[in-house]
Amino acid sequence: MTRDKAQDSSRPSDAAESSIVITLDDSCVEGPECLEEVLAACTAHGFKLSKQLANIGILCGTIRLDRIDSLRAIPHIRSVDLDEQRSAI
Amino acid sequence: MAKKSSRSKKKKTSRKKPASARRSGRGLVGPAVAQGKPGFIVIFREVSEKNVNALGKCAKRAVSTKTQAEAIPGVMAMGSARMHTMLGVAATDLEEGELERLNKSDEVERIVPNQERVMQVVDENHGPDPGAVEAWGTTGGPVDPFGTTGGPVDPFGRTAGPVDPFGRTNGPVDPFGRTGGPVDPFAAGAESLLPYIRGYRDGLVSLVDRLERSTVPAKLAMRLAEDTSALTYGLQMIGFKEGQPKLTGKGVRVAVLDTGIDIDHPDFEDRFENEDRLRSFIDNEDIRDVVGHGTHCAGTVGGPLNPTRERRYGVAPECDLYIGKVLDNNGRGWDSDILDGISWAIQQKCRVISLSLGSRRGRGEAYSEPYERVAQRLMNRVDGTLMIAAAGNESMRHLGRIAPVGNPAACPSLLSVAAVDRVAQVAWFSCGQQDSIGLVNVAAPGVRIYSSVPGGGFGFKSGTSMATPHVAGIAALIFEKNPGFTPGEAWTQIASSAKPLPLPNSDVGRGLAQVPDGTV
Repeated sequence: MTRDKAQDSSRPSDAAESSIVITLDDSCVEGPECLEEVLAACTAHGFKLSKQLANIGILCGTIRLDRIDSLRAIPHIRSVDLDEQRSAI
Repeated sequence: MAKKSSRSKKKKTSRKKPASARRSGRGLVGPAVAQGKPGFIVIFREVSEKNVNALGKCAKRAVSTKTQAEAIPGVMAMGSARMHTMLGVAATDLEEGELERLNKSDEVERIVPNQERVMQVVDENHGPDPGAVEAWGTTGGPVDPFGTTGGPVDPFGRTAGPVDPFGRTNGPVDPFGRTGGPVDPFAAGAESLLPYIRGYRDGLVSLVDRLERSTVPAKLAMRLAEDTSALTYGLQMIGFKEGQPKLTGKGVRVAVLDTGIDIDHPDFEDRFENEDRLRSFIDNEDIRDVVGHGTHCAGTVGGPLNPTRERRYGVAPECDLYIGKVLDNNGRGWDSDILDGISWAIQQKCRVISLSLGSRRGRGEAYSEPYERVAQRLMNRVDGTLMIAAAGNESMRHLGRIAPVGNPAACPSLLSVAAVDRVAQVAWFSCGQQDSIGLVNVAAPGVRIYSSVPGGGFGFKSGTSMATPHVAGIAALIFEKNPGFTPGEAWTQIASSAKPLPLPNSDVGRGLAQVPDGTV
């Protein structure tokens, strides 16, 4: 992702934080305990939950930019992406 | 001309500056000025007479009466500028104020530096030194979590270096097009190979396209399809004939995630008595569609068998429509809200999700992981959901520009839909396969499509957004006929039954999507 694109299309949030989408692996879709464990670990790293979409294994929220790497190290997290903007086409 | 010579002379003194656009005493100028060429290419939104006025007003260029340019058809001289009237493009020098005014003009799409294109020969003496680096293309700077390298980067791989007025970073570029910081000697050497490699790639793509065209029988070329009093041309092209269809999508739930819907439209009367079928995911906005996009798309999926006015336009008139508003009243929405809508549609047991939305994706840029994971999980479940997405409208094929399939359509587990017109030619705006990531799977009618619009009326719209609901409707018919199908099986049927077109797969995938056998 290039700098200019991210600046244009990522969801604005608090100056020090970014809106992100966390994608969990399949085991967290099948078992609620897994999701709760991951959420607890994310929260401990400063993640603030805004949406928990358990049936599709997605967590949405905000976190300080410098802590995103720590989320990626949590087991069962498949990816951490910016909350991007889409348009009607 | 005397003015131009003076500018060229002035630029000669600062030739060593590497930036593609830089400031001089005369304002912002492009690199080509040093070679006596216009500094900028102004790309107008449309081919229109208004372009001349815009250039005249913003850059004080007047139409010249007697110049050499007049002898060239389609080229109008305007002072030092050349307006290519049939292309909607002008080549001109610009002062800083003129650049700003033109950038703000409604008529202008984009302004780019006038760049030099050259055919290059590989100089073996200036090749890379493989011993100098650990691996091909690695650079000296820090590596971000996505493996991009170079300069200071944030956790999403965005470079923090300076960006020029065209959004490009000023630092050197490595063999993968990454920019921003120090690049090792190997990468710097490989940079000079890029034009050659790109030329080689373009040549191969062109060859494949020509071969594909020559191997499809000309008799498969479509005749002109027209809207009739009974059916839209779009319905005819995907296989409908006049009369009562045998498959109508009855009982199949289809989610249209878009800008909402006009629930008071007479053609949707009684369709949404169950309010569970309507949900807005946009803060402080109800389900009402003020943009018109969602109502149009929903109409193409499930407009009624007997519309209140004129022709039928819905592919699956008896499907159960579920409308999720995930794009706001400006037609924009965030992944977090769109994924919320997808989660809701799955909870509602929708078998099909139609996504006429997306965003531009750079060539080689990754697909969106959240959408891909969700679609992949659902793909092989008997009660799973097929996600169908618009390929994107960023191409300008009439100017020779084909944009890569956008996100989320670029995800391999989302069925990506391109648009064709009424003679089954690929639409000028339709995105195509430009890398190994974003493929086109099928095509459907998407130019001047008639469907419902807010306020109880009907109207025409164009876009891959309009092609996508045609395929979503077809998927509903397939699930009606084969309730036990997984999304993967429905996908296979859509692809295998598509009508081949004499066009490259990179533009239309397997061809023009068709309703399943037994529909009519």
